[in-house]
Amino acid sequence: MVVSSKVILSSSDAQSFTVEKKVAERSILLKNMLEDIGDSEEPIPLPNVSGKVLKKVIEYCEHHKDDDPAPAEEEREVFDNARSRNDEISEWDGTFITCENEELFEIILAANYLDIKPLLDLGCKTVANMIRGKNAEQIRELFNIENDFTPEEEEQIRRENEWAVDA
Amino acid sequence: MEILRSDSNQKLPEYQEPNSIMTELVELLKEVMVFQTLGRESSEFIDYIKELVHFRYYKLGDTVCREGESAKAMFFIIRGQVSVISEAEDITFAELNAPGFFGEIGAIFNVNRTATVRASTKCVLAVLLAEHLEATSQKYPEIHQAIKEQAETRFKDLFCEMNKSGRKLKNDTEERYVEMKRDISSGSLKEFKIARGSSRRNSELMLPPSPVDDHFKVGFTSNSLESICESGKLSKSEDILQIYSSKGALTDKHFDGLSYSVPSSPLCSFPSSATWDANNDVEISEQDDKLHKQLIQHPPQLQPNNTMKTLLKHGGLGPRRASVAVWSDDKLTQFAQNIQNKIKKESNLSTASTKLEETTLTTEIESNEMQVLKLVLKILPFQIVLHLRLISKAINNHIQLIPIYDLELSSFHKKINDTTLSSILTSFGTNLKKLNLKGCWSVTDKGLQAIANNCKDLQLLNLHSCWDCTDLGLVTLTNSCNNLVQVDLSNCRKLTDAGVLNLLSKCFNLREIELSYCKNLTQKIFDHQSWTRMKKINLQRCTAISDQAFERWNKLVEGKESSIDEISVSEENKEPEIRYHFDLNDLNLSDCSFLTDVAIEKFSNICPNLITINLSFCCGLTEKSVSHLINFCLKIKNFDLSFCGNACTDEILLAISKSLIFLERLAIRGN
Repeated sequence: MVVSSKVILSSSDAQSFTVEKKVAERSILLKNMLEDIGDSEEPIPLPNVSGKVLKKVIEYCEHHKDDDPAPAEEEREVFDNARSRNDEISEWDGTFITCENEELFEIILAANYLDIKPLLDLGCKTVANMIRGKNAEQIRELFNIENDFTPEEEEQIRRENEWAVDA
Repeated sequence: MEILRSDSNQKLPEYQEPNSIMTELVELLKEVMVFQTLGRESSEFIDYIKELVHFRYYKLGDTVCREGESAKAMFFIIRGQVSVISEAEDITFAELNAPGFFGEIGAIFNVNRTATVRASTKCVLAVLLAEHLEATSQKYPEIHQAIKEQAETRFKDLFCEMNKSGRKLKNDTEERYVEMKRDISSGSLKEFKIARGSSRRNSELMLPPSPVDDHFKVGFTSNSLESICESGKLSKSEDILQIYSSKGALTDKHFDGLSYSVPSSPLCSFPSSATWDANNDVEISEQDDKLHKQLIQHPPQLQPNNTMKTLLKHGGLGPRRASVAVWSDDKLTQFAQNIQNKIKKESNLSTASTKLEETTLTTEIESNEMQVLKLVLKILPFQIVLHLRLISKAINNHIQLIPIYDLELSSFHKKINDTTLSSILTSFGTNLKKLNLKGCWSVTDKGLQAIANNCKDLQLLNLHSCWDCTDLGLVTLTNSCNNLVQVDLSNCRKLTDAGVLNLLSKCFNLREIELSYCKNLTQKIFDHQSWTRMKKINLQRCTAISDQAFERWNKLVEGKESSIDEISVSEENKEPEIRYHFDLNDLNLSDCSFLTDVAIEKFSNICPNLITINLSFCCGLTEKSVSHLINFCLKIKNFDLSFCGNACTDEILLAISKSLIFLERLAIRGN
């Protein structure tokens, strides 16, 4: 078998991207897949990711291709759901992730689908920062969600949450 | 540091000095094979355990441990040679020399001794208790792994040897080994401890209801199940397959076959005798990456919104499910192989992805925004997550299903009362391991009742200054929350002996207890055996406690040291309950102004592992007791002698500087 260090990725809108294997392997999904099928000339279809988003994701993976692999899930998430994780975002990452909400969300979902933990973290942290300090209506707007509570139900939850309103 | 001798008349000039033996230990440990390759972690590990081990001396022919006994410790050989033999003493499995170790199988997998070990020369061994070994697993994972691997290799060898001569291990050692190994590998040791009580016969009780939306479901039929069992031979595959009960379709009969027959075989290449007669579909949840990948490419049975991703996420985030897992069983390997072959034949990548798309279309489509929000919820602080309940019904429902392990309510202490606490715990209490209610002084026994009702798995509880709580509430709580490891009851001033005694009796895993300012407590509670297991005890300003309390402590272990000299040192293995000293590392007696020298003398010779001791404001002490203390508790690092008038003299400071070689911090303010 020919040893090939390139991988072809094909997006949902049939755009093809040729990337170094090392770059593709930032995605655990692709890494596992490549281990299984061995080297192949065939493009790998990624039906959940559009070309526009895949381009961004590849840009991220290119930049981070020499990073250490992420630590195992177990080590990080004992007891607390990793809520106390480091919140700092590097300058490059900060610039990279600055984009329209719609695109940001698509990147997050792609990172989730492709299992690129650091990119997923980066996206989620960015959204978390957007959520902080917003009231319920603003958050609904942000996520395009309709309020389906009756005023009574809403009041009930407010009462239950009362203790947690800034001490 | 202590040296226990099996023969008190034996002269041992070269081993008398604790310091020299310590140096030798460190040198020898460095040479132990598993540590050599692990660099920095290994030197930290050695530093760590050198403070925990104690030494044993054996003469030729002494039995160190016996097959079938319960295993409480592992041993490092400092000097001499031991033989590892069968119980009937007719097979010799190995001769081990310094530097080396043994006893790790029992200690790490919590099974009974798998062989008898006898001193074949004079020996000095360093003993590391199983609980200390376990404590190293988080801190020094590589070391722990190396020891574990050694244990596995040795167990397999031993098992094959035994089989060659047609013998079986005692009782259920083998079975338990397999069970323990399974649980250690799947990383759910804590959960396992809870489940261990239930016998194999009740194995279906260990299986929690498995919400279908939580993991990957593959529609296996009874046929495929049978093929798992009946195909293939044995190999050394590392595959781990977890099989969950599907709404009771799989009865314990099936699991009997699984956990009993299958896992035992891979150890020595015996054909499995298990057969399955599953009549219904089962859900199979897979932990091994390879099969994951196969399955992800084989999506027709994928359930809505449950891609492998979800499964992976849940693996790390959700509560770990007790499960029946099978190791290294080549039938499963074969099974995995079959799937792989099938995929290679039937589908190439493009058809697989088409199928994936089709599946997605048939499911209820969740908006991108909703999916993102759910992902983000995982990293938001609890307070903001609560706020998000207001967004919509779907979000509110989703939030209530997120498992919360750690709840810090002390920052809202003014707003927490019995009603709010009860409502919070009803929604979020089920998975809690850590609950901090420090300063939530409106919480009373009703609140403790709510904890008892909702938080069965609680391990850390802080009730500091919940001062209206009484014995009644504490008894209810401790009857229900048996897994507590650390409890802070400081300033719960209404508590009395009865409440604390129940805590000591019911919570067997309790290791840290803070009772400062509980002024009603008396010496009556001090003859409870559980005190010997504590690592940390805080009795600051428990003014009703007198010297007699520590006399009672002393009686708990008194005479035990002399009795083991007479019998055999291995006695410890037969009577796990008997302890020769306290495990205590941290003792705070600050402000116990009624204590006299007697108290200090009574505890100092039974607490050899004291590292932190606070005697500030114990005005009744003199230098006599301090001098006693520093002769026995050589490991002290932090020593607070502030405002101890008569105890703190120039002479005693000089003595401290000579005796306490590990001392890092000494407080002598106000003297």
